[in-house]
Formats: sequence, structure tokens, C-alpha cells
Amino acid sequence: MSAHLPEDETLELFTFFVGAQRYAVDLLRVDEVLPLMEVTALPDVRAPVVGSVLVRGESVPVVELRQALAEGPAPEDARPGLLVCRLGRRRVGFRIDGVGTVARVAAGTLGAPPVGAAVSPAVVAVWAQPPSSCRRLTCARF
Amino acid sequence: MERLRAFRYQPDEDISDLSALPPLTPRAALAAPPNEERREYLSFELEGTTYAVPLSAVLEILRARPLVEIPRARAPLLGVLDLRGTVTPVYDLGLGLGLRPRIRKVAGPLEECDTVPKEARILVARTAAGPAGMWVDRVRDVVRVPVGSIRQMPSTEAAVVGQAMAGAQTLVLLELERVLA
Repeated sequence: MSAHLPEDETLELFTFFVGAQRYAVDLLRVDEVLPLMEVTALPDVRAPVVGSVLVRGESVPVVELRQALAEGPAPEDARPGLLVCRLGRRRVGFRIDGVGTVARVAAGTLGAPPVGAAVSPAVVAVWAQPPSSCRRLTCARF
Repeated sequence: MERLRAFRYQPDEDISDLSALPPLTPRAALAAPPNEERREYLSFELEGTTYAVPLSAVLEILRARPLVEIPRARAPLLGVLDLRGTVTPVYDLGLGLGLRPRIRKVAGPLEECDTVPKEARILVARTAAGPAGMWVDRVRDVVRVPVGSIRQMPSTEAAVVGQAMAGAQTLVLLELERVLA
């Protein structure tokens, strides 16, 4: 699993919730987290992109992560937000159901998603140590 | 594992396979030369449309609140507020632009006033007669607009002085003093 990463290398992860599931992206990808704002529908976009928002004068496409990850409805105590991430030199917003924490984990604790399990192609790894519910998400493949 | 390597952020990573991403907007794709002059505008919403005024004309933004009533005030004057000791008139910008059929009731006895929406704001602007408040539905953003993308309106009298593109959105540019003229 971690053949290309030294086992003792530490990853800094930004964790957040979609439905009841906890996911994470590389902290370096995270630009900002904004309160959920009105999304402007765009012509000719296809799922899971649902439109765009204006962030300081820049039009940022918005991805519905719940749809991309086939997650269930938001829990009652959800605090929805927009996670703005860097994909290459672009910025993309992801609708999330809540912000978690910043976690520092060793690359050696990563595990591959179970073979045959119904996980999105965006899920690249599963945290093998407690809390085992935290999935890694690249945010770059949807 | 290659997919895990893609997890790590690289500024020069290849995202050409992200076919679901919309192409860059025409304005972004034809980005203005970096040295082109830009002007800063404050954008806000009125009756579902996005308007903008020069940022330099805005002194401050206040959460909208009930105002002090002025007897026999003429529309679009809503009332006045005490701004750190300065009596500041507040106008119904939507009514001044002909967007609303009737003036809001936000001054006088509280039980007779309309409910103040949570997102409503008062823009305190610089005018020749001193600071004046403009009641708007919602403040959006500060937008840096390339001068070349501003389309001037032919009329020299109207409050709407031009239009500009900000990302995928069209801004209607206003001259606030002309709304009150």
C-alpha cells in the first residue's frame, strides 16, 4: 500500500464529514472553509459538479460530495460548509456536512480500501488504525 | 500505490482527466494582463440582482436594524440611525431604483415594522451631503474588475452607470448619489 511512501512519513490530513462518514484530504490542498452559500447553476455542467460560487471575484466550481461518494443524508447536527481545495492550479469547492480536525498520521498506518467494497474511486485509502472510520479521499478523482 | 501518490497535493499535478470540471470561464481564460488597471467594487444583492458600487465610496457596512422614524419622510428615505453620534439618513435603495413597489416599514414603533431579514445590511456611503445609508438585501463580495471589462451605459443621468463581468456573474454598476437625486 505505502510502497512509494516511507512507512514513517507523517501525513497531515484535514478531516471532514459527508453524511455520517469521516473523510480526509491532504491538508496542503485546503485553501479555506466557507459557510455554505448559494450555488449559481451553470449550463453544461455534469454531476457531481452542481454549479459555481463567487469567491473573492473568482468563479469556483462546486462539487456535491454526497453524490460523488454515494453517502446518505446529512445528520441532524450537520454544520454544512464549502471546502475549497486546490486541484493543480485550480480551486474547487466541495459541499461537506461538517469540519473535523487536522490529523497527523504515519503513512504506514494506511490500508487499501477493501476489495469489492462499494467505495467511490475517489477513496484511495482507509485508515487502518482507530478511528477506522476515517477514509482518505484524494478529492482529485471524481 | 499510484492513487495514494495522487493524494498528496502537487501544484503542477495533471488534472486534465477531471472531465467533470467545467472549463475556465471566458473571463478567467482570457485573463486580463496582470498590469491592467482594476477597480474595486463592493457587490450586493437587491431583489435577486447583483449590483456594485465603487469600494472607495463605502465607509462601512452595518447589520440592518430598525431605524428612527422621521415624520412625513419622503420615499426613498426610510429613517435615520445614530452612527456614533452622527445622525445618518438611510434610504431604500430598491425603491429608489424602482425595483420595489412600496417602501419598507423599518422605522417607528417596532410592532408596526416589517421583520428585518437576517442578511439585510446598510451600506454607509460617502455622498456630497455627508454619510448616507443604503438598505440592501445582502452584501456579497469585494470584486476587482479590470477597467477594460466595464461597459459604460450611454445615459449620463441614470443611477446605473455600467455593467461588468465578475467570473460568471454580471454586475450592475451604480452611482449612489444619482439614486438619491
